[in-house]
Amino acid sequence: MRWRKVFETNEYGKIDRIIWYDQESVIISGQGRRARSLRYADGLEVWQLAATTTNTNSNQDTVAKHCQVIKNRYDPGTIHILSDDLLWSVSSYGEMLWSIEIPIKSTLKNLFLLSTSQYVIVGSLDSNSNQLQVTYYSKQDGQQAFSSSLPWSFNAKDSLNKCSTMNNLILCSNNEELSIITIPTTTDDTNVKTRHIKASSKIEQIRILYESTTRSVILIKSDNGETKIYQFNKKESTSEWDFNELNIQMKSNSFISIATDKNLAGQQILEASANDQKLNFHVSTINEQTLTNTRSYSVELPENMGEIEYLAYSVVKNTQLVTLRMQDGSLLVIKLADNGAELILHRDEALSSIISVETFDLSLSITQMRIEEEFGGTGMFSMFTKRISSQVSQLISFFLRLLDLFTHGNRNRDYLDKQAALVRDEFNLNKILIVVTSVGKVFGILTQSGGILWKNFFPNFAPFEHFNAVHVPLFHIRSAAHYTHEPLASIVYRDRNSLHDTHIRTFNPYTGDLENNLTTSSLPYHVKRVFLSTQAVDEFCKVLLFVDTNNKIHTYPSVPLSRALSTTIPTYIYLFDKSEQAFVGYYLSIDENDQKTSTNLKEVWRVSFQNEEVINIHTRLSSDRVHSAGIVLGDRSVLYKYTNPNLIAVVTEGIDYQKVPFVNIYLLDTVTGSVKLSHTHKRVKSPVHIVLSENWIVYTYYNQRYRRYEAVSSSLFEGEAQYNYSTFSSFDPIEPVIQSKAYILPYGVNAIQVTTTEKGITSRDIIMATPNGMLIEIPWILFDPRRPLDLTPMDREEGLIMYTPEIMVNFESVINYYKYVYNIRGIHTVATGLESTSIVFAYGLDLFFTRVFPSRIFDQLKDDFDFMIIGWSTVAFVVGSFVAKRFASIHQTKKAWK
Amino acid sequence: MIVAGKLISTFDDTTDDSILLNFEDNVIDGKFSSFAKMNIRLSRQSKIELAPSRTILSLQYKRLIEEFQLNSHSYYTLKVIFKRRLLQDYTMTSIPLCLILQAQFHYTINLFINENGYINSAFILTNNSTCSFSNLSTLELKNDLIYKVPLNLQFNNLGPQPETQHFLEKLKREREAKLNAQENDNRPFILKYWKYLLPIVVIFVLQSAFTDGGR
Repeated sequence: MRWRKVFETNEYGKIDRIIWYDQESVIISGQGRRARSLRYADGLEVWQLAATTTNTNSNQDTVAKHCQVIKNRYDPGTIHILSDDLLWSVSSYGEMLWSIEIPIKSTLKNLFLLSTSQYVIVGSLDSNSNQLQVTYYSKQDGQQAFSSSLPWSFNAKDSLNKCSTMNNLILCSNNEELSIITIPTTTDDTNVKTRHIKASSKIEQIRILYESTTRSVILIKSDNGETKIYQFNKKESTSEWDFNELNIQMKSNSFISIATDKNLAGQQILEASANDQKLNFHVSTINEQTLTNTRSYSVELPENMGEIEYLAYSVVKNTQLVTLRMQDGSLLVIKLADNGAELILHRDEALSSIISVETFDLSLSITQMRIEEEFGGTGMFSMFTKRISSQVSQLISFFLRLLDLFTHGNRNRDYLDKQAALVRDEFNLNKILIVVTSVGKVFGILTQSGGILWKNFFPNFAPFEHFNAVHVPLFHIRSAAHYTHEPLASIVYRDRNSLHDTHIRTFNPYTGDLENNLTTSSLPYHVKRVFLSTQAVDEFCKVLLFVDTNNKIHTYPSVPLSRALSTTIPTYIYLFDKSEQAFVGYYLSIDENDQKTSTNLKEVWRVSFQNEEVINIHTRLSSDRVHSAGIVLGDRSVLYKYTNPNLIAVVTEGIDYQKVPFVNIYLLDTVTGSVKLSHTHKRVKSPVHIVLSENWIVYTYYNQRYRRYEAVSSSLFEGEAQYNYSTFSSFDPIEPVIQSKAYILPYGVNAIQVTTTEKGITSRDIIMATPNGMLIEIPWILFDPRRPLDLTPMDREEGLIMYTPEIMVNFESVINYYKYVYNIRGIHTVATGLESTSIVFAYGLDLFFTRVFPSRIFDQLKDDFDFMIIGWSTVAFVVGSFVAKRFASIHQTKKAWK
Repeated sequence: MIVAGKLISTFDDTTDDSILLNFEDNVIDGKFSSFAKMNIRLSRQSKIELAPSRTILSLQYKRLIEEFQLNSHSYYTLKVIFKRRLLQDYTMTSIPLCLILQAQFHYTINLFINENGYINSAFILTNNSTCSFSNLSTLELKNDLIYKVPLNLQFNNLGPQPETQHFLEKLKREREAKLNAQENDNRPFILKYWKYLLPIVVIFVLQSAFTDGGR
């Protein structure tokens, strides 16, 4: 990749249209309010222009704007942009030619933008009189020249969805009919002509394939799959057009693109269609009414990529290039040559839309497995025989390896290295990441190299909606801990075509192979929530539990609930009802001898949020470990933590009685439905990013009043005495003591997460992704709500840091150095076999993986550890001790003779 | 929790700052029935004693103990129906029945009230979190049980703000203290450091005296 430019994450980064020139392209974004030019050679932004508008009504920002961008065909260096009430023209070299505001009303909406050699024409729909007002503005200075009107039968929504513009034509589809309305281009000619084309069935889509001042080609697609192509030719010295149908037979799923080149005799038309793992192309030259010189190509794809979503055909220096975007997000560039088609570029762009991540340990090596087996026996005799047999086999394999080394040398080295990468290392640092993308492609990625091990594409995939985001439940059905069985992962998703149908796909995370016994596409109920069983059922496999729309709980695969869930520890489930803005808690009572595979839930609590809207729910990581029950204070007493594992964080938004917007953060106990913490922040804007771990919560938001990002940290404590040191119950009569502090953040926040370690002994760090591409590792101690303003010797003894309102970020804590990663949506952290080490995987537009050491490397030797010095000094000491012993004995003997 | 006095500012412009509460529980035949009703004013009260309109007869109490012995997973559920302005909704919470029986219907209700004066959630606290059959069976009841239920109102806390002002004041204080220390210490050099100078002078004097004596 030569260069890349990341646009803004707000509306100004959303591209409306790109206009291609020879050296650079002009990009219109932000609903027609920004224009900028990028140079192909180096990606340099040559110029940028912002629309000048006097209308600063903030309400308009929330209303979807309508925007049209056209390149003037008679003067290709001029671009006209219509953005609701604003009409402006820019030149391709970055000059704003003129800008005018067109008055709009609720009954008058600007819809169409056309251009001629002299005028820019705006078609506005007057819904009162059902007339289309056509206003002509001078191309030079934007002065209104004249206007006319014509009767119009479509409403505003239909006009936007069903109509397209081309030169001085407006094309509108009306069921089986296509109306072609010719707009006069001069003052002398006021004759509006309307002609019709009949289709065999309802027209679904009109697409303009090619447009010039004299010729245009359009495609009409009907809902019965029939596709027709029409060619338009301009009549000489008039503003009228002749059209004729091109004689072309097309498949229903094929895409069409047209290329023109100065060197080509005519225009070339490319028809492309996808068929399983094969792409078929037909290239023809367009003659008067027929296609000639048709050549066919086909290319075998490395994997199933679904249907074609976008196609562009271009001829660059006599090389025919086809660019495609496939349904699975792949970007393909295919070169068509006389000797056939060749795939020259394939990029998995789906990786920029990751929505779920899970990590699996790699499998044990054969030697490690033998060690597991060696100590696996029960009886004394069996243990002895196992030990002997495994040691004999170890000896044999050692000799075989030696023999192989002598006979074959390093010939198999590459293969062996590849195999070694798939085997668990000594400290379990390397893992396999399973990522699910929003287009339905699942990848297995090795953390050691970042290489893609396997990928699977599910064409009928649709993710579940989760507040403003999408998500796909991804579960560890069987972990890698059971070395005799392969691990299994399951994803649950909806059907693309019928959203009530749920699919379950279970696969081996090492190979991506589907486990057909645990894969289904027909659940007989509508799923409301899914979670994993607490108990393993058959062959160390956990089962999926589904709550259906009738609040009944089911297991998949079908097993008695008493086997899937613990019968001694009660199970509580909460559901959120969006229409009532209420959380409802349910209790699941299971009898030990019960063989039922589904049961009804019993409502035990309800928490309702009136006049505020729940915008997010955050749960703690399932891997969260709490190592110590309290904090030792400076006076050697203990402050006990309130570590309630049943807490969830709920974020709500609302407007108070003074019309001030607020954001509320609640900590909700999901067993009793009680609120353990509630914070109101006024004049604050979401998104609120949350980390919930141990006995503390850290959340960030944007403060509109001070225009800065802030973080709030709260810790919950039981106090100086612990209610129950062995177990925790939500029914314990504990009222937690809350300590909170707020801090100013130096950067904005895209995502935050906390590091995870195996036992939770290592101190915690907060990993924060910022909009400027940095991943910052901040010790939690800086967020500690107990940081005092005035530091006493007691606080110093405890190791507290003095409170400063701003969190100072040291540039050394940027864990990605200068490898900036943009638009990060989530951070995934996993523990490794080393207590000091946590794995961090950040995903968004870019992916980043690293290891962090929150308490430094306390359980490893450093890389620069001098083994030679320690070795030689040991040898020297041994030799020295022998020499000293010898001298001592001589000395003793001499002393005895004296 | 915000104290009641502070709350007045939150609700003072609303003329109808009262909430009508209806408390129901499921002790009689497992169905919800009301045991107390009251009207509370948000700006004034935060701790209220509930006046229940129902008592638990000793027979009912005995039946509840029997029911619990049959199904140890039975729950005591409290439903709080609230009406404020035109809106009516309810919140609910549960606790193992055994805890309530053990506490003989003496428990605390915590009600959480949100920014706009609506009730978010309810929570019951008894003085214990474990109970056993043996505890229950030893409880002998001669009279009817009277609910003893204090009600706690908990309001949304205002989230913390960065303590910039305090921090700046502290810096200012420190700076002033430093300046004062400097200002006070404008004595001459000898007066300021005589403690350090004196031993050196003494040593010199002694040394010269000894060397002279040596001659």
